Amino acid sequence: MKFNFFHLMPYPDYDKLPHEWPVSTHNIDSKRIQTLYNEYVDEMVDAENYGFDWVGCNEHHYSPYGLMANPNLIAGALARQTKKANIAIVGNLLPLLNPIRVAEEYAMIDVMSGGRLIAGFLRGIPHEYIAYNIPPSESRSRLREATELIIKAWTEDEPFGWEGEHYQFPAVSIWPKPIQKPHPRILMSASNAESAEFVAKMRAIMGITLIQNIGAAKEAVEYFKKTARSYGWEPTPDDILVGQQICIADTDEEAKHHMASAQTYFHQTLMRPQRSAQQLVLGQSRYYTEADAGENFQKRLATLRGRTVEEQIEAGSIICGSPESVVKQITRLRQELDCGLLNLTIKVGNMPGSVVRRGMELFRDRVAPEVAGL
Amino acid sequence: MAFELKTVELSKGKLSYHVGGSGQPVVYLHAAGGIMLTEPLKALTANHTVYAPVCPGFDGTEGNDGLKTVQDWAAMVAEFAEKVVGPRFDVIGSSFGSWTALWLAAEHPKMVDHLILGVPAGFRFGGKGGLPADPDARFKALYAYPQKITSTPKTPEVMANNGRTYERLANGVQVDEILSARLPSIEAVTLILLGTEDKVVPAEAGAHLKRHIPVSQRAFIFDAAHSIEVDQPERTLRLWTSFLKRGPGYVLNQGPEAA
Repeated sequence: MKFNFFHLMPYPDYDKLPHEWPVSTHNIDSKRIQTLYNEYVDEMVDAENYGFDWVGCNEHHYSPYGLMANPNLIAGALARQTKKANIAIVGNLLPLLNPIRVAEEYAMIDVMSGGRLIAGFLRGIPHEYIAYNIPPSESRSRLREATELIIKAWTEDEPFGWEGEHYQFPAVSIWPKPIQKPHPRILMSASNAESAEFVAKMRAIMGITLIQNIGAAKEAVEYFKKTARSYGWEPTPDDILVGQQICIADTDEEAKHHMASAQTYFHQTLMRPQRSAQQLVLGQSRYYTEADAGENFQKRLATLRGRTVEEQIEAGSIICGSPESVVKQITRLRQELDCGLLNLTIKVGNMPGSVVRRGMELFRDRVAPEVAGL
Repeated sequence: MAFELKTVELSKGKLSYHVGGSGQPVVYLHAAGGIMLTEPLKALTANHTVYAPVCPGFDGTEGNDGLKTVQDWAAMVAEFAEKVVGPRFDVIGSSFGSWTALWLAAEHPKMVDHLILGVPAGFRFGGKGGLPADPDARFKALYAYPQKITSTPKTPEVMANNGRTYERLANGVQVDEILSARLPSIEAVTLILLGTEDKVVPAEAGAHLKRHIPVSQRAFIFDAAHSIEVDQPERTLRLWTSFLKRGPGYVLNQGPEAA
């Protein structure tokens, strides 16, 4: 198995309950955030020496939920400071961005890192569409077109133009091209049938997160595999990534205590302001089609919010406990979901840095040696 | 604007052609399936006089044994243009028609002003691409959106004759090496168009042409198979009209000034 040290870069000190999104920065000290950037980047750089195969970052806007409006900037720093880990950007929110710019920045990161980029192409969560003033109902068609355009930009040596539905670029020839040929591995979300279809077509890594129960996740994986076969290929565990929050401590009790506290901040402070903006998007646009409305991100998140840490562990939604317990939980995910990639968020909410660091040590010394060969 | 079907007598025999519209002349050279008066072609007549000669043997016309190669057909088009169209004109080709158009531009550089090569045949490197033999697979290779076809279907007999005529002229050539060697001499400003879903003409063909034609650009039409004019008529028309009007300068976004 391979493991991604995934970081949301949350702002951990918000002492009020934010009531609206975008969230005000009144009384927020950017000097403190400079310290956080250093702390977080250090954790990510160190991760490759703690048994993690990838280091991962992602994109969010306008709130303390995540301080990476542009994860490519963080990836640029990681490209220089890491030596062996893949740099997984999970991912750029393609429908919000200029796809040519994404192609260029991703290619630069791949070249700077010596060919270590994992290129995440994501649709994002609904409220992000307000941030960049993009119609949410265009999210899927923009994602599809941008994905195909970026691949062309990476793989076509001769200059070309693009005449599409959302994008018209009469002259494209990005410099440099990625080192990885034909192009860096692509990672996309495939938590429902419609998205699985496109991910299979693009032969991308399928990602699922916020698992409500392991049976439903298994169905999603099986559907993806079946769809991939219809496109003439057979996914391996290396094509299936499962996202989980994780807390590893010396004892089960200690880990559960830390996770419960961090999740309280995660749900009550970091996620709270987004809910009303998300409801606005969901109520007044066709962000979700009928096919995927039943299993959408918000519903899964709400389900998890109402569960105890123990219930989440049992459902396969999170990984939490002593090293021995964590090894069992990872083994179960590997066996049940046939996944070879785990996207692990260790810095959950306001989890203290010391707990994160202890979890990394335990992962290196007592978890990775047991599960790397799974 | 409607097209009329006319005929003209040339030194090598009779030639039928469709003509419609008014304005700067454009010669449209059809694909191996024969003439399809597609929506962009019809729309083009708003600002151009469009001439669409029918290669003898296609679309129920009488065959011409004097035509043995694509180059022969291009020579007949040149004579047609000289007699009917005028000394200088723009050319749009579709697949086999783009192959013909390239020969025309290579042999008669002073005739061709703007050259648009839609999904150009004649450059199947490594044997990639081509039309499948199975009729269903062939149809899928041609159209991503067959429901957008607006022209009357051709009879099986006409389609079969079209296929035979094409095979005779193509002579089994996958890569026209002689033409390829002449690409650097093409003087026409050229736009190469490809469909992102096209499996008949691989992207390498467009790259090869772009690499060797001195003043050339190429563009992918998103979500179009081989029949770009049918699958994405608006996008195709936008590129045609913009390039015919502005040549290589079409890459500049002029914003509201353009109006």
